[in-house]
Amino acid sequence: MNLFKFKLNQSLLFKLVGTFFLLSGVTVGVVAISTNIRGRQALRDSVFDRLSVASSLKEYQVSQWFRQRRNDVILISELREVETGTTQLLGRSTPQTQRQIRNLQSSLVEITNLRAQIDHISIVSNTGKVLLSTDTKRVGRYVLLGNTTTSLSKRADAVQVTPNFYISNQTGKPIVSYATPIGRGEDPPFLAVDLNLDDIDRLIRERTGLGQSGQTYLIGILRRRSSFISGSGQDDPAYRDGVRSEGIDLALRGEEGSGLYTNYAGVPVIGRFDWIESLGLAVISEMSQSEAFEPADRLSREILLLGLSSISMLLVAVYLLSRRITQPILAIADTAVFVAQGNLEHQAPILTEDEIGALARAFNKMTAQLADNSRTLEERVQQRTSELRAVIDTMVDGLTVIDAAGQISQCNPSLRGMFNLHDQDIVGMDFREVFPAEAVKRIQKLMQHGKERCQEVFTEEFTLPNSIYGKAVATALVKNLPDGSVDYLGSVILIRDITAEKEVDRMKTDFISTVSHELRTPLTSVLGFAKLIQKKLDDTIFPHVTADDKRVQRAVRQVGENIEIIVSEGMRLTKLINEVLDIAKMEAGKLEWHMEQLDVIEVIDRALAATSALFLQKGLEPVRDVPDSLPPVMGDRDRLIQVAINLISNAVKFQAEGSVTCRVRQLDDVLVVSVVDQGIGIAPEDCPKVFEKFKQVGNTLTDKPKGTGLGLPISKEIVEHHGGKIWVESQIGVGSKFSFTLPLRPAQVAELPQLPPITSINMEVLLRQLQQPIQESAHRDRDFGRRKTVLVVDDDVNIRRLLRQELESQNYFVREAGNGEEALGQLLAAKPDLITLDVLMPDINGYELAARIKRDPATMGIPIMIISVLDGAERGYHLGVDRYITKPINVDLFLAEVETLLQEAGQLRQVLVVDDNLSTVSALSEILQSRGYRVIKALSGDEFLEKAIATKPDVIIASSKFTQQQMDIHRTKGLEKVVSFLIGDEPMAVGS
Amino acid sequence: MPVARMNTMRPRLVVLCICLFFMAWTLTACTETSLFLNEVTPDRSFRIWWNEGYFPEETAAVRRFVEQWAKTSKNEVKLTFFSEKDLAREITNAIARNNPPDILYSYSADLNLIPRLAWEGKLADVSDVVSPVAQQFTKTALSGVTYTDNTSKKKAYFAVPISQSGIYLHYWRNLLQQTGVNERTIPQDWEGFWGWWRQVHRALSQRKGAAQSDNLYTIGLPVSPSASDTFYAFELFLEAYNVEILDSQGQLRISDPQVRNGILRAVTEYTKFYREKLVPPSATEWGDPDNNERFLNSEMVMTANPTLSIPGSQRSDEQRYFDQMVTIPWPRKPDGSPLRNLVATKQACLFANSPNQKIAKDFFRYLLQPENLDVFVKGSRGRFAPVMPKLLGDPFWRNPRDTHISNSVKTLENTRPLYQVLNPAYTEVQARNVWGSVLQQVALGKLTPEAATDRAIAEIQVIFENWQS
Repeated sequence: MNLFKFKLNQSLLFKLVGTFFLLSGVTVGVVAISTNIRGRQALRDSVFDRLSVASSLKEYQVSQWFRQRRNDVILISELREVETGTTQLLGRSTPQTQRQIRNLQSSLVEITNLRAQIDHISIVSNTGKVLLSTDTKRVGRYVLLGNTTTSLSKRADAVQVTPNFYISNQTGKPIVSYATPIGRGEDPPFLAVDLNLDDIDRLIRERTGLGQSGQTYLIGILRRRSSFISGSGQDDPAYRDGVRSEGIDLALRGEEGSGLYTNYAGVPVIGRFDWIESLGLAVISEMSQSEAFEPADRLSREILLLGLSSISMLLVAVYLLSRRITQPILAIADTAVFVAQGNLEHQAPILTEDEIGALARAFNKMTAQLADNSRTLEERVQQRTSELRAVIDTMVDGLTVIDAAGQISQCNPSLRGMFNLHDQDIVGMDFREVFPAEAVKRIQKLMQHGKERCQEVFTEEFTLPNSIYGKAVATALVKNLPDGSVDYLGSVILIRDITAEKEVDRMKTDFISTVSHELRTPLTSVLGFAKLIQKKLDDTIFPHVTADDKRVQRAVRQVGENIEIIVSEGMRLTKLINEVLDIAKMEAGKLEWHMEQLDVIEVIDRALAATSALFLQKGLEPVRDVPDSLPPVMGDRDRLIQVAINLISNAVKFQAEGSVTCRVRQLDDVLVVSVVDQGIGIAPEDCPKVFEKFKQVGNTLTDKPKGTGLGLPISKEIVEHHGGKIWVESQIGVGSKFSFTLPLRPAQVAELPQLPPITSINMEVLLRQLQQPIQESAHRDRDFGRRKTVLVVDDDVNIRRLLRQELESQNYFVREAGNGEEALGQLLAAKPDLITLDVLMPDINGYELAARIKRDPATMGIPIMIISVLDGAERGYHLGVDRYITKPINVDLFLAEVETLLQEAGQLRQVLVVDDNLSTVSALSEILQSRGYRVIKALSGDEFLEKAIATKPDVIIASSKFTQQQMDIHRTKGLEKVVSFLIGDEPMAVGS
Repeated sequence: MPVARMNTMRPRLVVLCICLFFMAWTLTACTETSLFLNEVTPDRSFRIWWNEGYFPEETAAVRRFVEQWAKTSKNEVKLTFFSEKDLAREITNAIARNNPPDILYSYSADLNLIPRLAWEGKLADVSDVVSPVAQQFTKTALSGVTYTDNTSKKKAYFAVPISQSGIYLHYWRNLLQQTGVNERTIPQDWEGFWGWWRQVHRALSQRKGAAQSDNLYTIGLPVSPSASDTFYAFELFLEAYNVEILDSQGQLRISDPQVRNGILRAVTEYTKFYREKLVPPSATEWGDPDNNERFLNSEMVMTANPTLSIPGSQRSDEQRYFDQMVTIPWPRKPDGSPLRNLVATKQACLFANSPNQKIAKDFFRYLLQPENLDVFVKGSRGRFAPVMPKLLGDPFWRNPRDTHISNSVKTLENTRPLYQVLNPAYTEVQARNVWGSVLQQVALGKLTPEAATDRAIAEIQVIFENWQS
């Protein structure tokens, strides 16, 4: 079957031959069938006619026979001899009557001899007694006249009685007995004549043009069963017990008709059946269907035979013809197979000159062309490959291709050089075994990203061996699958040596910060003096200017305005420099982040508070739209406030009336902070630009820039550092909506630096306890009314002068020092109440000086305020510096801080924090410092003793590990009254 | 043609070809069956189908009578006589072709045809003919023509009673005399009666040995399925043993164990005669005429026969009729009570779809006039008895010398109708000759009486179930 299927599907030859065979077979079959059907129809009609004729003939003959026999019987009964003889039989028996009876007997015998149809003739009395019979055995016996005999009436109008057929006791064949009265008397005796049906049988059996299988037969009821009365079937004992067929059954029901059916012998016949009512017989003529339809069948067979033999012959011809077609095609196919295998030199044989020959020729031409193209292509490929190879090999950047399994499938010498793998062949190796750990980690990350987002390009920077800084750019290699998805094959990784760029970048940052610092110093002077001038003008000069002269008045007004412009532009410049520094630091990654758990609502509130003046100024209404509670986020509070302020102030800046809404919403795992204004809006094409550095959208010629243009880029940096994103949605004339997200990731907690264990100390309790002794000793050095001395240390004379003027205006006594040495000298001469320090100074910088001052027990109690262009508050506080102010100096803030420090100096108590755990010491110090304590740190027992004796602190907070030293200190002179706290490993163990 | 289409076309093409070849083969190798029937136009003239008489004068009497009526009523009539077997077949065919005659009279129609036709609603209600003269009929005769039409659920007279017959006992006095057993000593009780015939048989056997005549048997009771006489005679045996197959409402009681016991006794007793060789061996194959002919030829001393056809045939031979042949009443039942004879009411019916209802009923009214009926009944040579008690007053029925008539009339004083009257399903029991079949098997020793009883019961139950459905 499979072979057949294969043949059917694969072989053109088979298809051609098979199709021809099937189609021609069907045609011949259809012709044969239709011929047969038509033939049979015609034959059937003709046979019906023949059968009908035969039946009618037989029916007529049989009826005729019975009529004659009836006439015979009646005739015999009316014979004078019979009538006389019968009278003699009934009368008294005399020799004469005996003789007459004998004569009658011999006459009747003669009749039976003459008439072959008559078996016996009897004379029966009306009681059924046989008086005389040609069958002498019957004489004297009683017969039932009404049972077997058929009585005939002599009357002309007599009702016809159907003959009563019954089986003869003697012959076993069906017979008919007619009985008719003899004479005209009352209760006459009867003449009974037994008729054999041999004539009928002969008549019936004659085949009248019905062919070999044709037959006619009579069926009647014998012994309650339908049986043969005559016909060939009568002889067969098998049918003695009755016969049945559709024809017989119908005929016995009195139906007449014809049809095709199976006869009593099980032979399919075409037959005609009739019911002869007058005889009570069915006459049936039949002919076997095989004979009747033989001509039609023969014709069909002949057509089939002829057709099939023609088909067979044609089949051979078709086969040969098809072979002529298929063989050249096969040859071409074989050649195609060779060509497909790469043998482009193979030529298809041209076997014919017809279409197939043309096909072969075209095929050969195509093959030649293919070979040619293939050669050219190979050369080109080779050329291109070597070019490409050369490019790859000579390129400075390292290039590697890593497949999805992690195997290196390509790499160039530069790459090998980068990883110190000069003479190794790393192709085919697993990159994880070849590259150093950090590189492997980064490359894995890149590949992972590439696999997930294959359309994007990812970069990673990492250090390579030989102190090279590398930047890897990865592009995913993918195969597009038909279902739209992609199959990741690997990644192309290009590693560039960016050491130089890094250096340049660093240099740029350094440059910017240096320049900024350098700018700040003169700016501080400019701004400071401008403000001083303004103040002096306002406070001292303008009130004394006579207002009569209009020119003077105008000059006064112009001077005032000009000074104001100088101040405001100076402030703008300050801000600009600050922001440039911020950006530079962020880009350099030098910005310090104070990540902590915080409440965004607080951030918003602080920002709104900070910008309330702006709102007031422009008459806008701030709208606060925040939920009652939000989960905390990790973030740098000040930076986030900076972002919020920036967005709010922007909104206010570009809006003339209406409200600005601050909205916070929680969306899944992020918080979305939005600032919505009703301002002028931003054009869609400008929206992305607003986050670019130094870009201000809008017409810069007509619209005066209102900011530095760095606020939003800084905000963007800050938000992105928090793992969020910032964007704007805006419509011109309707308003803008700036939003940023902050992720609510619990994982972020883990990323934060470990909080020191000191957090386990209940700080509130500690601070409350601290409060008391400090307040007690607060009065010790109280010194009311004395004019406080401030030592200003700065290498810039202008700054010194500015500060002097400011401080003196506040009635402080000011001393100056131009550098560290000078300052130390001043300190030795006389202890000031407060020292202001610049950081960037020649020889001894501000930090160092602060450290020295704080290290010297004699001077460590003096509050130090650093005023610097640098953001080094952290470092300063670590050194024990009390305040850290950045330049340009905000004079008001500066003076307020000075005042606070001087006031605190009277109250401030020194706290000695002792613990061998640095982080605990730092954390505790930070808290205490923020509460205004001066903190001295000690990390060991010796240091503890030394510092305690030197500084004579008001309070000692020591770890319980230093209990012994603690007790020693209490015994030391001058430290008896010191308040001590011991901190146990337990959360809180405070003792005195 | 594209290759793809070729591939999908191909299996269909193959299937088509195979089908065509198969068709061709079937047509050439096999035979046809189809039948064409010639139309028969129904005859609408007034037609009467009558059973040909047993005796020529019986047929002649009918013919005369019909002619007379046709003449007086001025109606055209087509009278056709059929032998009994032809009539049964012809009427079945005519009904099947929906072309029956208007009026039908058949000797056996009351047994196997009329109850069924009435049930099926194929007969006309002739109450308007019968009711006015009802009081003139015997009760049994009236109940013999009262049927239920199942289609209209109507109970009415669906035939007119013509005559009646029971089942009678005949013996040859001259043959009995030869045995030396005195006929005056015939006991009237059931056991004694049959014992007496066994005594005759023994005497006959001794005499046979002397006379070397092997052809003489004592009892002519048929045990064949072909003879309806078997059925009739056995039904009387069942009556004797008080077996009630149907109750008065026509409900089958055959599952009653008492009924089974009664049947079993009757089967046992009935077949005992054959097994004791009191009956001719050929009795298992007899048709209805066989016991008549054999009895007439003195091959049996006694026989039982429905109708008085046996003596009737010998009426013209006075010696045989009056002196030699004797008709005697049946003995009492085994329980001592008188045995009721089973009466078949011979009847003529009118078909419901006859187009000549009025003429037919007119004919019936004419027929039912006592004087007409009398002529008709007498034409049967006393084979049938009148159904009008009034007619029995005629000397013909009261002649003390004629034992056949007088004794038969006497047995008709205590009768019951056949079961067919109570339930048409019983016609099927008769038509299949359930009793005849099993009795034959028992007689031939092929079945025990018990098995025969159970088979008969099962067969009757099936017949009734089929009839219900």
